[in-house]
Amino acid sequence: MKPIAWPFPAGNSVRATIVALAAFLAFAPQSMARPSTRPQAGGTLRVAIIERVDNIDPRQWPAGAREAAAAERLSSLVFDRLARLDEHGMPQPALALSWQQDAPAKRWQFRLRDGVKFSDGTPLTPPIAAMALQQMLGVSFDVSATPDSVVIQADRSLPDLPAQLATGRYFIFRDGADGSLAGTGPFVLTRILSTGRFAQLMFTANETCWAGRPFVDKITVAMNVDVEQEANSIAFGQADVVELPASQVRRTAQRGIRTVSTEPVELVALVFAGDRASVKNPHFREGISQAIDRASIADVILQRHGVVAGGLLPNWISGYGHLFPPAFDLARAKDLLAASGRELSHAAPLVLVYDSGDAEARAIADRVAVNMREAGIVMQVQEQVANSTAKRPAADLRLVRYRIATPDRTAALAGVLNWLGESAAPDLGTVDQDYAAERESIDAFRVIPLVHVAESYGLSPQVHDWMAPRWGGWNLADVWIGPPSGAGSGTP
Amino acid sequence: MSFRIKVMLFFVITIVAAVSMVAWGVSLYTRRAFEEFDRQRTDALVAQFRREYAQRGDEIAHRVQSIADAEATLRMAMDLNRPQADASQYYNDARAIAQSLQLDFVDIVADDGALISSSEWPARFGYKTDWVTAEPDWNSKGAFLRRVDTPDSVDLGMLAVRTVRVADKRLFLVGGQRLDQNFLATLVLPEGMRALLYRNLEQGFVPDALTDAHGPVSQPGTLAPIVTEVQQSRKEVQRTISRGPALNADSETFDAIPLVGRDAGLLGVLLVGSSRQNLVQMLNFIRALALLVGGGVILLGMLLGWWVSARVTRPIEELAAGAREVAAGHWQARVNIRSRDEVGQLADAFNEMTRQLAEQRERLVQTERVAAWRELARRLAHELKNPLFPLQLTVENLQRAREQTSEQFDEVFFESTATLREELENLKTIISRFSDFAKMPPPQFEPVDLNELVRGAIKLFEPQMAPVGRPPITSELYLDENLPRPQADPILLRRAVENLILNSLDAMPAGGTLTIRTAQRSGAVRLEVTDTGEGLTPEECERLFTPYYTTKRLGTGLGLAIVQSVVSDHGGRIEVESAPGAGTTFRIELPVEQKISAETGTPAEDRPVDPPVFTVA
Repeated sequence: MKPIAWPFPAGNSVRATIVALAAFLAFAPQSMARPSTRPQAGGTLRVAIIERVDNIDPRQWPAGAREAAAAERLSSLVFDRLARLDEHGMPQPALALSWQQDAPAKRWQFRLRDGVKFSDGTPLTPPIAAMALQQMLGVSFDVSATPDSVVIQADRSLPDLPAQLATGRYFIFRDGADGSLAGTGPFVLTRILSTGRFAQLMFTANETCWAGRPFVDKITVAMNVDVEQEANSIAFGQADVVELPASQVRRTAQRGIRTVSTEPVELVALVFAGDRASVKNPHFREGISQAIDRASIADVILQRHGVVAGGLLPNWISGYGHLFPPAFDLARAKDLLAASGRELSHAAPLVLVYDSGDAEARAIADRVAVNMREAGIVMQVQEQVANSTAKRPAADLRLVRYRIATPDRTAALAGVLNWLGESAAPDLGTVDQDYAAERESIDAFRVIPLVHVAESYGLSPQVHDWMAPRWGGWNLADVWIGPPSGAGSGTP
Repeated sequence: MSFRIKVMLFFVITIVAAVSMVAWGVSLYTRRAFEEFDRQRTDALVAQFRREYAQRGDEIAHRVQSIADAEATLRMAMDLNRPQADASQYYNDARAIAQSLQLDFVDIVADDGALISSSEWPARFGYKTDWVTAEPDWNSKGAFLRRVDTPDSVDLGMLAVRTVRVADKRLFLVGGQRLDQNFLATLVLPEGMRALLYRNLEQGFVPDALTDAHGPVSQPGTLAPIVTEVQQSRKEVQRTISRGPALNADSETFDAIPLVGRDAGLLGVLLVGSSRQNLVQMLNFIRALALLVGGGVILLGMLLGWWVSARVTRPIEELAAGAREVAAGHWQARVNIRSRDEVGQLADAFNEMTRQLAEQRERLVQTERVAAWRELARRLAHELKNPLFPLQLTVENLQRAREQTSEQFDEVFFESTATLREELENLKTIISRFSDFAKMPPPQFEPVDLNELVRGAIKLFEPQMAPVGRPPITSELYLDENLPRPQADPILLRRAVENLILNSLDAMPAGGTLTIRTAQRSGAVRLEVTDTGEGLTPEECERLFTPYYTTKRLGTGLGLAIVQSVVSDHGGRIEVESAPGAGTTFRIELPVEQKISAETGTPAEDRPVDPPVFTVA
């Protein structure tokens, strides 16, 4: 076993440092005082997001990438994981103070933090944690409990298991007697309002949180908010934090609203579907890839808040992204499409579907269709309603989004490949191995990356210490509400 | 057809024709008036549409001009005029402008024709829009029609273009509204009218391209001929569309107005439809009213015609009845018509005629009675004179015989008494015959087999038909074996048949053929007795049935009179047909059924008694 020790509880240390610093500043000379940055407890943080999440139960995870990302953000308010990722993407202790694995990395033992209680007052115990993880990991894992640890036994090597358990839906929860779920996170879900299209969640500060009480008393999360109204919500004082699609960030910033964006963490790509011979033809797929003007999508539709994607992973994660230069060669695209897509000239148009309600995806899909028209291919754009019983359109291509939840290259690539339905190469891990696996996937044209998009938010001046990870997500326990500070935009 | 019916029909036909003429005239006038009104209404609507069309164009041009005049637009133009200008930041501006100005289409086009922002097709940014840059001066141009491509379809839009010039570069602003059902919904239409728009954006007639204010039109194919005609002629067309073989409530008159674009291409057809429902309803109402009034008038005409015809024909019918009375022997028949017109004069003349006829008949009867008495006296004198003369001679012989011997006297006496007895017997016979004729008994009816009766009579006369020393007479019987058995008195009928046979045998002293036929007629039986004798003259025929008239040396002249009397008592009729040298035929017709008087047991008296008919060839 290779133990990894962590000397201090992570959340407590940060917050203790901040409190000490605040106390020091409070008693320091006036010239050194910075009252505008002094954290203040209390208040309600009003958040507005685009997606709608009807359930934060990790066992009932949404299928859509955007919905899943939203559910993960909301769940992280209530639940904790065994580990968390630091700014470098390395797993750090959370509910687990330390972990160790055997040589082949098939058996992992996580020693739980002492004194942690759920929001209903129940102490966190290894059996409870093991039961929650067992439900999340499935039957291919054997999760057991020792007096102070949770043991996870897998049938294959899992060298990155702590990093994986630090992302996604691997939260530790406890089934309450009334059917509700209790977590150990900084907030407790106290109210759910749902009236037609409008839905709102209210979270209340968990006074007994092991990492310390959050600054704000409450958080309200308005869901399903109209994209066009997001910026207005800030401007009119109706929200403190609004989720912004990339296409709206620039305009929002031009209105003097403070915006923050992560690194490009979302892959927007075309995935082929259907059984048409042409669609299965690699040359035809290459022709489509060559016909798409990705720069226009990134610069115009996403208003320069997207990065042209030639590979699956953004360059800031992989480091070799420049080796996948996006090609835009209309002449070559025409040749390829004309040679391999003859059947389409006499058949129904190519159908590209996107998730309904995603206006940005619609704009990208329309642009792709325009590019296809220029290349001599008639493409029809159709929306696909999630959870609809209506007959789904017979899609030839799908415009999809994939949220890359970790800055770890290998883990991120494994996630993408798994999402694409491609079995991850067993020898992922090194840069060369990861590059080779990604190259193989790209050259097969099973997926056509378009852009990588950042996660962006608009913040009201009253919001302080927005310290979200650069790969996205929330850290609302450290956010506090106070007098306005200077407006601006940037990356945390 | 009776005169009364004819008069009534004349009245009815005249009235029907008059009512029909009036109804047709009213209907024709109404239709023309309505069509004229409809045409004026359609013209007004078309003019209204043209005003709305022009006003809409001015409004669109004004809105686009307001975009061009906006300070933000000027800033955009100045920004884009900079080197390395970033046009992507204006990507969403067209949509926002379109929403704020309620325009369906807004395009912002750079000086080089590149599309900066598009509300209807944002994804086309960066693509060239050369038609915009081809026009040197948009600001003096009004709105125009143009097909507008969108991601999902091709629309028909009324567009206006304005430019903002900064330095030597222009920024083009294209704005417009969709010409669709919403545009039609803004048109104020009178009741019964509707406006349809055909967007001529594809070749041929496309049914889905035809809409009204509520969306796609049902049965668009009915309007295809009009649209096609406008597509070919590019001129305004007016046609009536009927969804049936004739004008009905669904019929509609359409004015089709071609809508052309800047390049004179036909981009749309506006169809202004005017329902014929009101016209048809009015025509139906007039037709129903005409039918109602016409029916009433016809009924009234029938009643009036009946009354008038009755008034006109009643005197004539009375005259006819009077004439029939006279024909039936009622010589005192009169018609009671009080009128001073021609019919009244005719009635007076009729009454005068019957009066004179009665007087003349009375005189004739008196004359005939006298003549009959004279004839009777003559016949009686003649009949009695024949036996009286021998009686006188016998008596004179007896007187002279007293001067002879007794033996001679006895011989003369016995001869004379024998002669006296014989002649007295003759006198007695003569008197008996006259007495028999005078007292003809009434017939006792019973079903009689006429054929059998004829055979019996012929058999009786067989000895006389083959006399010694004279040429024989042959008989030929043509009897209808299916002859019905008439109600008759067999004794009287046998007597009549025997008289006819005897009369025929007497007419053939030199031999010949006696032919007897029986046959049935409608409700009667016929008996014909034909001889091949010398025939009769017309004068003889006329007096043939007069009692005591005879052409025979030893005849009494009562035989045929008796025959006529029997036939008359049976309600029958007798005819004689003869020509000199061609023989004579007596034809008797007797009814099968008798109408018997309950009191007398004889045929009813109201039965007309047909006089004998004489036919002389």
